[in-house]
Amino acid sequence: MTDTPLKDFADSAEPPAHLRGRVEDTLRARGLRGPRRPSWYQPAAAAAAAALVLAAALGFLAGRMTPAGAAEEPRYLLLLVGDAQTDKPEAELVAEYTRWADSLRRERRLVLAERLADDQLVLPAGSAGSEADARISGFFLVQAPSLDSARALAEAGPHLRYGGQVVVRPIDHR
Amino acid sequence: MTDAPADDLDRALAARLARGDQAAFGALYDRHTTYLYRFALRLTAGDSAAAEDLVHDAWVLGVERLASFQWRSSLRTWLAAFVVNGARTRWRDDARVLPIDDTHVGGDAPLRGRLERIDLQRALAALAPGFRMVLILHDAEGYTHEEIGRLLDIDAGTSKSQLSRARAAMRRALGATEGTGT
Repeated sequence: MTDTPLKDFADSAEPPAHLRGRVEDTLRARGLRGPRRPSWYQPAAAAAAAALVLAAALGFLAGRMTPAGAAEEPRYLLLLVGDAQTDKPEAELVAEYTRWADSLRRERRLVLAERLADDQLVLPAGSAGSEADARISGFFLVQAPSLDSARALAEAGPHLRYGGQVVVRPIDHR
Repeated sequence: MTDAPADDLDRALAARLARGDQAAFGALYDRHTTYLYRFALRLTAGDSAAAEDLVHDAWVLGVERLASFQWRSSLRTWLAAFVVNGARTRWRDDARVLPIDDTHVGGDAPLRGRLERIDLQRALAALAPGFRMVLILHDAEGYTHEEIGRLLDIDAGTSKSQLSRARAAMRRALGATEGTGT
């Protein structure tokens, strides 16, 4: 290897933090990366695609979320239940969920968003979990001035429009 | 350009990724992206947006084709080839070829440190993309002319010739910069 100043050029540059999310978004949109399913999990194709859409939208936010606004507003947990039922192209749905999530972030409403893995552990061992719990595919923790405001945030998203459910639970600040 | 222990780890991570282990992608990304980004920045003469695009595309293509990777080179070298090919595609329609005047060439010795970073970036940016690529691959990344030839689908002799002319152009540009005091 030749010793030249060229080796020093850009030698301290770091890739932008958002690049990883951008790569992962593209991989998910192309079906090259998605949530690993346990072998017993056999969802219908449409449901699997919908789950992927949600995963992509939530994955888009990983590492990008900024802390919520300085104002100490009440927090609400938005539980996303069930899958979007639509024939829309997956890429279009991903973009729609992502726009919703991103708008929450820009408005400084978003505290945390995560998708949930498919498998779950129910305790005590041997007891049956509720079917509704098993259908929760992700959650958003948002900050809003009131329950009605939190409801409006949920209604602005695409999940309800496509037949999913959103359960809004206030965080108990007492 | 292989490193056996690193290669083994990459192989193990690639196998995990193929089985759907999502953490494996993150590990591979963390291992190679800083190198790829700096490499892309050099190829693009410091164009961060273009470098980001090149690295993005390299990862997407890499993951897409990972199953067909034969491990005849290191994973990093293989990924870097996607960056190179992306840069070539980007510049394919760039017909700009700077006139290269070899009369000012003072031998083929490597350029040595006397340059301010900004001058270097300007000189690189002014270099025709094809010459810049050979210069970066050889002088900054340590590729041999044979490796460059395979990567760019040119003869090793052509690589040598282009390197000589690229160095000449750099000297000329940097000499002019020094001369004008800018």
